[in-house]
Amino acid sequence: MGKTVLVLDDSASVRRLVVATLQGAGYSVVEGEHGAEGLAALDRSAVDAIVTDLNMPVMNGLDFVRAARRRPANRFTPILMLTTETGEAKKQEGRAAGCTGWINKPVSPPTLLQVLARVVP
Amino acid sequence: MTEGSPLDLSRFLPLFFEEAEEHLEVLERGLMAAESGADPRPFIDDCFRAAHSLKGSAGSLGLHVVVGHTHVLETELDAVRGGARPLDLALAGHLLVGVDLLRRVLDSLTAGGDGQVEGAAEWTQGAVSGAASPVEARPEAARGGLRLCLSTHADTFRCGLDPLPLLRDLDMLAGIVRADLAAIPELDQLDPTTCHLTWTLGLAESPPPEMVDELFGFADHLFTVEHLPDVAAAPQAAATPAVSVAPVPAHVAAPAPRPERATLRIATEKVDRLVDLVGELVISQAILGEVLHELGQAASERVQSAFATLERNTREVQERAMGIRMLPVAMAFDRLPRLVRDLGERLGKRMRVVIEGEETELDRSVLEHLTDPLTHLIRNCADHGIEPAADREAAGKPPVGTVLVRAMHQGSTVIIEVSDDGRGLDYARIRTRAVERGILGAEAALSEAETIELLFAPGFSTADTVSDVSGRGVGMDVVRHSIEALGGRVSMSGKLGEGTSVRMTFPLTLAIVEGLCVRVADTTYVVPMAAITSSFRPNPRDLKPVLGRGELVISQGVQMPLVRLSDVLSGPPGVEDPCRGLLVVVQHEADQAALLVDGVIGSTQAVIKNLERNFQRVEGVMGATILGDGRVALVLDVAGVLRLARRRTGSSRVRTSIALGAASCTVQP
Repeated sequence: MGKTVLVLDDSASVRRLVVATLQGAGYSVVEGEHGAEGLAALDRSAVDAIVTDLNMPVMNGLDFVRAARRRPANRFTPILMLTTETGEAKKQEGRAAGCTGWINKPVSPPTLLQVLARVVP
Repeated sequence: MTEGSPLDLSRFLPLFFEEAEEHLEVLERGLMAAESGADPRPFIDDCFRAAHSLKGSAGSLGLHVVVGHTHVLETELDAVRGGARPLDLALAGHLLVGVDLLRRVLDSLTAGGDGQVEGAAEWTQGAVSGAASPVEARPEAARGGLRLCLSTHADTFRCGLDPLPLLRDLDMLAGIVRADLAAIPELDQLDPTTCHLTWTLGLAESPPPEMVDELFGFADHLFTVEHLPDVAAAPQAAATPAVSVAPVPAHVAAPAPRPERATLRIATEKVDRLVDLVGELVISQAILGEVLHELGQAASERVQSAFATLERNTREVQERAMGIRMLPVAMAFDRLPRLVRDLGERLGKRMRVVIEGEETELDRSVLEHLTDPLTHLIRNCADHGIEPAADREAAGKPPVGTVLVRAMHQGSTVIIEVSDDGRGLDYARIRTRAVERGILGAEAALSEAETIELLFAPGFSTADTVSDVSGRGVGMDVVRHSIEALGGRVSMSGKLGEGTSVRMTFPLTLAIVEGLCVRVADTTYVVPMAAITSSFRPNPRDLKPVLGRGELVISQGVQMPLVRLSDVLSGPPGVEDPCRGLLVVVQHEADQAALLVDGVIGSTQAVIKNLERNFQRVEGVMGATILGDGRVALVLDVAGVLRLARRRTGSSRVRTSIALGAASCTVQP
């Protein structure tokens, strides 16, 4: 049975790329444009992993991660951040928030799948 | 862990260095034990833990230099611990070299340096001479290749990452050499969402950095991968210097909570401030006591009894506050075995150190300054006391010389004694040498005690002379000076061929002295009660002026010098005629003297304020105190006063005469 991944990105093109990559690899996908939509999606569906953009309107990636970690069902759900920011400070912040890993933008489909496979065995 | 910039971390460095020092001492003690042939097993776990925690905290602070170095120590000790290899002489020696280098690395970092120390990198790569054996025998080294240390951050689980699948992926190219479980707390302390694991991975061959990056790079905020210097694969390891996955500081798992810790670290300034304040409290209580005393019947009974309670509580608070500063002398003794070992090696002598009473407690401020005099004394033992093995055997002694360092309580003092079973003191030769050096007149006849006194003379302290003489006396004046600056006293004894013993006596707590307040003219002095044997008003027939040599007085059949404090301390002169004043007989070791005072005011608990902070150290004076009536009084250092008095007379007739003359120091309360 395929795993379900929540994908959040405010850029429709990136979202489409990610969604297509995941579906092509057999994952089921739910999606949203920002963190608030993500939280709403988590209320509706159980997910095995989350792939989210960092900078989004309404609720950004880190705020979303913090909120998600407060939900008992998602305390340990792997959350991968898509980002161009690789600074140490940002990573520390990400760790404190509860991010599982980082995928550099622009997204390379093979890398995305590879990393996802490591966190969702 | 939410530390931001590296700047934040520097706040923790002083604490880290303090901890590191403790860990180094544990390591040293254990390795020394192994080297001396003792069963090292009881120490191995401690040593391993010390290396491990050192690495852990260094990692959290981003001190890579220390991490790399301690990792080697840790790995070797772990192999020993697991029984994979014995802690033999060669390995212990090799590791001791490592500990030394590590200490220098830490010293460099403490001083604000970069921790780059000559030889340290070579040591971690096994290039130091004598390092060959420790590594060859290591089982995982046989696999060859590189080793990685994979540390996980404490937040790993909370960030939703399960490291196990990664390890499974790694299994293709690596075997787990060791999972480090030391950081895992007891079950009742365990937070299952906190990750405590670190692995050492053995790799068949050096993986390309991209591969490591591919495996761990996506979560480099949670993983730290270090390439460990592998001594067995030296050429390879040297060719690939430590590469980190990403240029981030090491995030070794946060040090686990230590539930067994029953102590609290407090900044010394805080304790000192507290002790100071308690001193003030004692003084204000004494002032209040004085007021009540003056009021007499006017003060109600209730006030009197409330005051009695206050007095009792104050005393208790005072004792407790003093107790905070007391530390076991082990702190100062811990390095001695190492020192003796190194000295023995350097001098080619066989010697061992025996330590007794290391649990004896002493004021911290004394302990801190005890290292130098102790080192000095031990060096004397090694240099001059202990004979070469052949000489010892010829003299019917065991070939290995013993240096005995012991601490003990005696009354209200703590005694620290350093003795050896070496050559002892050759009194005749000391005298000859003193005459040659012009310290002593050729005709002088000295007792043994007086001869020993010569060894403390500043002119007697050049090494070349002394090593010829009896093997004693290198810088003994320096030792005496530093011990007396701490409020202690030094004495020495020894017999030719039977060894020498140096005894240092310290008051239990420096800050408080039970004393007798005496008056000379309008000046008040406090004479420490412990030094007083009696006091009396002399009859004219008890007094014996000795022309040009001062005055003598006979007390209970014993003849002793009469000392006028105004002469030795330059205070205002008091009564001229001893029969109209009072004599307080004081004793220090074998020396006795009668101090002439105008009268006795009463006993006091003197809280000593150090004069040196504001003034120079004054011989004969221990410090100043504030009396109940708010006036300042000098607290006498009896040993110093006796010595000052003796000095007026020249060194020869030490205990039979006292000269009158201008005093050399000026002290005004």
